[in-house]
Amino acid sequence: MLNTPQFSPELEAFRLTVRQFIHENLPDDIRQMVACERMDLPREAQVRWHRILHSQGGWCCPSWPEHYGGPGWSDEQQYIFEQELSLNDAPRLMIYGVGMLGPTLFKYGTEEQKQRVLPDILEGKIFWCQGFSEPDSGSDLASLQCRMTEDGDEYVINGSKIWTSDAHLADWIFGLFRSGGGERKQQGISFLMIDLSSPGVTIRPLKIFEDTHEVNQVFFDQVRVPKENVVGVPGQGWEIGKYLLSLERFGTAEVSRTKASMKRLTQLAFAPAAGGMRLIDNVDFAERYCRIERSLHALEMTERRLLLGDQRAESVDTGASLLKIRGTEIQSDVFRLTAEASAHFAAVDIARDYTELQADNPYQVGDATRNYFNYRKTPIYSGSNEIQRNIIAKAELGLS
Amino acid sequence: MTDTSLYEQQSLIEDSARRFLDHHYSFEARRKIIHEEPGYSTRQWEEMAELGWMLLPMSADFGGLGGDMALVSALAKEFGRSLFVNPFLGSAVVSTKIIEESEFEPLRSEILDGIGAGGAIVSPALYEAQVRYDLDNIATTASEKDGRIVMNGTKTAALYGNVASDLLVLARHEAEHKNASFSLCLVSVEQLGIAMTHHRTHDGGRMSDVQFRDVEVNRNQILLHGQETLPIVKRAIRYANASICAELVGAMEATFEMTLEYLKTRQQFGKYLSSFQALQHRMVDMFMRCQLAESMRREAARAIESANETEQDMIISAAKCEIARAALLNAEEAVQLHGAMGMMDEMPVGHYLKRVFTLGLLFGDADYHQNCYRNMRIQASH
Repeated sequence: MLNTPQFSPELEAFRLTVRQFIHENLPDDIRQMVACERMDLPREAQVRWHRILHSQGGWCCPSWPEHYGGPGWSDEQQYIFEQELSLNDAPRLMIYGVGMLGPTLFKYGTEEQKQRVLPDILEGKIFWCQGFSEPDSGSDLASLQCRMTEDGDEYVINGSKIWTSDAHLADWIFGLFRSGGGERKQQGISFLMIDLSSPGVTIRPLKIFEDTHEVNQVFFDQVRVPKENVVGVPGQGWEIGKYLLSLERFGTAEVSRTKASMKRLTQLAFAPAAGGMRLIDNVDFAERYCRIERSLHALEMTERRLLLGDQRAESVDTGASLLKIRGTEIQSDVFRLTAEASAHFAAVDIARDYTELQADNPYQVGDATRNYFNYRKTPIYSGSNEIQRNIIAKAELGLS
Repeated sequence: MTDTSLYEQQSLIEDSARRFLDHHYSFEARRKIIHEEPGYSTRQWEEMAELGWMLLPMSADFGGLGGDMALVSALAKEFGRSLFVNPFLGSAVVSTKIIEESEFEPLRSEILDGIGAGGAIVSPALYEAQVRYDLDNIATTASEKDGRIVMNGTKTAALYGNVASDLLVLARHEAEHKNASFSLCLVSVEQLGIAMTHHRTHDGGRMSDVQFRDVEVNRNQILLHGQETLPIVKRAIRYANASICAELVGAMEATFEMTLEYLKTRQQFGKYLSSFQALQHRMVDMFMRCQLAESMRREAARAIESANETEQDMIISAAKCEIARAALLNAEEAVQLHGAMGMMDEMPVGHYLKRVFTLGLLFGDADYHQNCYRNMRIQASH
């Protein structure tokens, strides 16, 4: 692995503190699930880890300022913290509440909303999910049609949201809903928070071809939502949604997650083999391996340059799109190669009980083939890579 | 990443280089210059020396400006943007970095003074056609017998040998009762037994093949000798490659910008080319390759200044193979997106393709560095 430049001594000391905390406090069963590349952690495991981080002075919400109960970290500290979580097989943060809704409320929420919603996110009491896509509105998000109609002090919601990750685990959903019309389809959209236990909400599980249940379709049939659950003003939803998506700067490329995956692949590649011919001694395999390693290094340095910047101002407004495209492309390459590294074993469909994984099988990185199939989602989700290219073309290059 | 003065210095160099090149080295001016001998403007060369550019790669111990790769890289990137071809890489970069390591005074100081002032051009004659980039297996010999040293062999790719006052020759040193090792000799082009063939390269540069037939070398012409010779040469080559990476990235940026501009002005089917999604996405891919290459350019510069030798080797090889490939791919895409106009000699875009192709071949092409990287990676146990 190519080394990356160190941060200042203070920040590197901070890194060690974080690392030590994870080593001492991350429960083994959770670490094992993450080390198997599993994204669909049970709610109980996510919440347990969230509360452990919470007890450490708000580490569960690394981007939150101190007066909302976060640690009040600098960009560099947040970056290093997320790196260490990834490299040490700790779960991803509870992104919807912690990374998205919380910071959105800092900016657009009323005082009442902040006091009502934020403490429950911080303490891991309420589990959030996000409702953007609809059956007929995928990449063309602004065409969304799930309606909210005014009725006294409430809105009445009718329609459905789809590809809703973790809706089956969640208590509440936030998302964009059609509240009116306008010349442009981006007008007449509102940002709303909805209690999933409300009458009229139905959640239908959707199984992805890899065989897990991560996403759902959420149906709304005459669901009544109090007006105080609108964030911002009605019609401001598109602006708020764009802001919310721009918040996820440090996560989209998953560079450090992919580095952790590469460490696992490295173990396979250099493992002693019968006949003395290790995987890495195969020139074609070695070349694919090395290419990924170089690409990942270039991406990591780009991430640091674009996100943390340096004193010569960088001017890539669409850095997050670039990082998402390349990050997910490289991630896919790693998972394909890891699966292929296992030869015949890659054909075996292992029962998805990670607690029973055998550590003595050198080819077993979770079920590498399942992971490969599962991670085909990443170039598609949160704005497909084609949409990301449209964004760069328009916003960065001025092509239209 | 916090050295303010270094950033300021980089900006100063960029500004001054861009002003200089905009003024002196327009595409039209360049076409004329590269087609006449010696392939660059000697007046511009003198001005470059006056601006202190020759001193940038040179250590302060010898009157240079310190040799910080971040600064050399900033300058080289500007050269790349303007397709600037001249003896800088061979003489002021490679030869300087090798000669600095010699311990033979006063010869060392004399030559470095000459290079720094622009008056002396020293061409490195390291490679040989039959070994491609593999310096360990060169065949040129410096044979010691009866107190005389005689050199025989054929070198290739001596950069700007056409204007060199001296050549820096890597040879296998043979002496009776001694283990074979390498020597690096400084040889005047005037010496008896030297025959040179000068070539124009596809990018308008110059390089020479040099034949040595019983060329007599004095002991005081040997700048390096023994085990340290090859590692020193390889270190200079790493340094050169970091600089080449910067030139390639500069060329990539310019190619990208001119293609973007072309798509925004050229109309077909009643629409600007920039409105076609198939083309937009190709531009985005070019843009992303530029960004990633820029990160690797900085990585290469950082590695030269702060990494240990093994790490330097890996990062430079990683950067060179990735950037050389990306630069070539972007240049091919740029020609394609210009359509038939891209094939015209009067358009700069094709000349960028020629430049990045040619530059990518120097001091180890992409495949060579890919191999180096892979071998180092396999040896590192984890």
